Amino acid sequence: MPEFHKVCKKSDVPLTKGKTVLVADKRIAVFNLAGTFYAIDDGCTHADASLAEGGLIVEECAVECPWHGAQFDIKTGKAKTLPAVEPVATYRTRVTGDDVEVEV
Amino acid sequence: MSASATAASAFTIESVKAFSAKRREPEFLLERRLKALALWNEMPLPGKQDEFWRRVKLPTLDFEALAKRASSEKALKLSALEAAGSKAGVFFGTLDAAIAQRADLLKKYWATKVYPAGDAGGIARRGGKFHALNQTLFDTGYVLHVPKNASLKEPLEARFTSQSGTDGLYPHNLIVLEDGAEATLIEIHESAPGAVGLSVPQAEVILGAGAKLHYLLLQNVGSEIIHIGAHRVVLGAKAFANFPSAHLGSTISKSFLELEMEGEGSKGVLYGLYYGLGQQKLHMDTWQHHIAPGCTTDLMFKGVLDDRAMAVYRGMIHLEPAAQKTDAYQQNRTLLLSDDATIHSIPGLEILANDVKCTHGSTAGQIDQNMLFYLLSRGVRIFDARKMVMDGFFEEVIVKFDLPQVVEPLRNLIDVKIAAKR
Amino acid sequence: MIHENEKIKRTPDLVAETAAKANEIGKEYKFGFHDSEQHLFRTKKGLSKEVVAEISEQKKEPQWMRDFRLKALDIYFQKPMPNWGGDLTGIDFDNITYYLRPTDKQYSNWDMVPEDIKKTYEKLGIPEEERKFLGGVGAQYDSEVVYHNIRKDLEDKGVLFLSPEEGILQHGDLFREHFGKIIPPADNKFAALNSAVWSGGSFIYVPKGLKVDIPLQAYFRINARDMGQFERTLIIVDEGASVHYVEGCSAPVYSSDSLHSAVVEIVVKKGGRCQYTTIQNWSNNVYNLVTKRAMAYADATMIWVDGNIGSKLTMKYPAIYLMEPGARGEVLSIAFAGKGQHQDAGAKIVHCAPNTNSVITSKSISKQGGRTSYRGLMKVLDGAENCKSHVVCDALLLDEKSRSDTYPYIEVDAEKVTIEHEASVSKVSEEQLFYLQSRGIGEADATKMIVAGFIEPLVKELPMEYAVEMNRLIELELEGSVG
Repeated sequence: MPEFHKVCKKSDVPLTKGKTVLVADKRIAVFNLAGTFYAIDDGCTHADASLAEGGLIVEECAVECPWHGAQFDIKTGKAKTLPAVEPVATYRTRVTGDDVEVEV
Repeated sequence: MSASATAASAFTIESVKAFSAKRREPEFLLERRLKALALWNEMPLPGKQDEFWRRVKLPTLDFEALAKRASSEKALKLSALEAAGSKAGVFFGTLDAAIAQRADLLKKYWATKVYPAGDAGGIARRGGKFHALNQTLFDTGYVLHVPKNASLKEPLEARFTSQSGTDGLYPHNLIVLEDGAEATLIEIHESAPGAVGLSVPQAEVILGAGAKLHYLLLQNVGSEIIHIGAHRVVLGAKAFANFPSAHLGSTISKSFLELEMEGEGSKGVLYGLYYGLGQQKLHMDTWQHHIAPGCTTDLMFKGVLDDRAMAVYRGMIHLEPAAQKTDAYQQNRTLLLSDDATIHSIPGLEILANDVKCTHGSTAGQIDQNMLFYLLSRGVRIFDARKMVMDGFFEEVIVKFDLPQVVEPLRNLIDVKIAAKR
Repeated sequence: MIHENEKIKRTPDLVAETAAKANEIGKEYKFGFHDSEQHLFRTKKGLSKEVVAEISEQKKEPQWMRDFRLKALDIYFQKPMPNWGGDLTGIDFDNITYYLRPTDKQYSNWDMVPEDIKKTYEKLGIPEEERKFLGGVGAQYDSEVVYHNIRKDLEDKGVLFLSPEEGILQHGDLFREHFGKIIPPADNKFAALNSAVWSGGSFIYVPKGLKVDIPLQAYFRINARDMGQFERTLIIVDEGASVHYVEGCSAPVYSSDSLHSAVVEIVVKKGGRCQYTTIQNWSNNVYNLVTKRAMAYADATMIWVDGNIGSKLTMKYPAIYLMEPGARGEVLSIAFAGKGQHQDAGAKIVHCAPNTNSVITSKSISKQGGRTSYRGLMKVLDGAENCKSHVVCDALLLDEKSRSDTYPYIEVDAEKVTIEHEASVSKVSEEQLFYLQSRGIGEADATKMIVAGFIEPLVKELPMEYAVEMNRLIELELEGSVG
């Protein structure tokens, strides 16, 4: 059964990149986009680089993978450019007090 | 186990010295262990940057805990040498027996020519840190030596069994066939129920001119075992090696299977089969190295993958400039029975001689639907039909094992795996 | 287990006929000529933010492109050199001029092109009469599209065949929709370099349903000492449309090394068809590092025909992503490596959807110590059922100093697929040679015929004048290699 796990504090998530967290054996990247938190699989579906290390493109709600530049929509997980084709999984998030929680 | 909290690391010079002393090993063996230890401490774990390991996702391993080994009586069982064999001067015994009776053999061949101790060049390129692990921690293994022109008719068997509980098994094996010698050896890797841990065998095989070896390898370790094996055969002029292998067990396995064609006119046959179920990850890394001219290598690896199993077949045929008149062949064929099964096949060629015939091929696909339909239309049930097709598919490789005492159990093991799917 | 070479398909008469045709078409092919250098504007040597900003300034680009270039430059500096493939240690990046603009304006017909530039093209052997048959010629000379002519009827039908600079300024939205989305700057170090300093190339758009029946062509040339070529091409084939684009090039010989790092992005929409043919014949001091990638949508077809004859080192792996069901991809590749050359070429095909097909045919020839490597990726993603793929790589080694490698990567993640890969390496078959010699054909000619037969499956895909040029080039390469 999926449940919410506390992963980090709100202040742990930088504004231009993401934060990698480990939840139930999954590597997840958490992003703060203008106050709303999003969570997606951390591994780029092209070559498994860490998307949390990538740059956030705020106006497009997307993150760019640092290895080969593939972009993903962080709301839907869809791959927006090559070389990625397959989408990343997305996870529901909620904020409780100062904590960010991700449902896995 | 309870003392492990304060136990010293197994990977220090002192520990290794103490271990070697306890086993009453000759000085040269300790020297070689220490060379391997230095390499182990120096090398990082193979990772994404390493071409040979990039696709292997190893979990975090507690090597200190895994340095604990099971007692060698339980871990290794050797078949008895026939009388004719001992009369001819053949030696077939455990590592400890070799230390006691034939240290000369070990001095001459052990971790010297085939997988030299502490070598960061040739071996590190491929097995690297795990080769060093075996050569630091080994405490069991078999040694087979067949003198010039002696011919062993009875097949010999070495059976390695990982014990229940969590430990590591690091057998280091040596086979030396002098000029004109002949032998057949069956090497089996399996596990007792409840076995968890690492199995890291290494086999060094040297064939003299005109020697003939049938080396049958069966890997069927337990589903909680990570198996990383390295087996290399060096062939002298006109030597012959038939080296079939079956890869059935483990949760993750990576096997290096290597032929060094050093002597002119030598021939190596390297057939393999793999069958992956559940979440198994089976990696096979083959190496056909043609150094001398006029040699032949023939490789065929066939596999079936079901459920979420994955196999990675990496093969390289490498010809040196002197290897003219080479005949080298490499085929990989995989049947995928489910949507989540995955095969990565990376057959390679590096050819620096021109008067050669080198081909390789790789195919991946599903069971031939026509064949299935034919069987179904004759009243064979779908499960049995698929089994018949699979048996037929593997047959080409199974015949290379050639001995009823191996072929029957092998077919049974495969059938048991197929039945588990029912 | 026996490998057999291709059957001989050429007769002695055909060889003579081919040679005669080569003489008709142009002067005897000559390498190694260059004109005195005439360039109105040159950036200083080496690479920096200022150089990139200047390039953008000179082209009067919108802010987004300027930002794109500068960001790409950062990525370029951060990325390490690749640790695989060919030997790149000979490139002196600081000693290259990254941008050059020889003229101020475009010309609409041949007569207005400056004399020395015309002379270069004439040396390449493009007779005047032929120009009318060509759809339109964007002739590139040292980083800028100098001569540009679009045949009126194509223009009227809505076909765009422009330089990328014109594309940004005149069709900005269409350009921006696809530019950098198929090959992002971070894709690899040389894509990042190109993204920062690109200049020239082609921007092509073919509207829905239109089939362009004449090949669109462009010529490239490196002239100035230490000059790099960084053209950028973007081709968009709309639904049901079809186009064949051809590029071929020649370069003079210099003592210090030249760098050619191009990027080609192609989108073929539903039911569309695109063939992109390249004959590369850079002189033997050029490093040719190219990233080419196409996306083919539902029922679309993409074909790369790739001939690598020249350069000191070429690293080029045309790629096709088969995005939707029914898409089809094909790569035909010939590589020829003579003394001191390394052709590291191949193909990448990714099956992203079910019911997609692909074929890769690679033929390579090495002689006098040359080295050819085939490096390929055949990937079938999870869910891409019912795909079929067939890869054949054959290599001929003409002597014992030469080398051939094959590194195919096959990754299959879906079931109900049929993936086949075969490769073989051998020398010219003695039986075939004996057969021809016993019929009175000398060894040199016999070898030429066998080699011509070996590459015939690819050559027959080329437009005629290229086929002839290709055969002639191979013949010249073989001359002196036998006996």
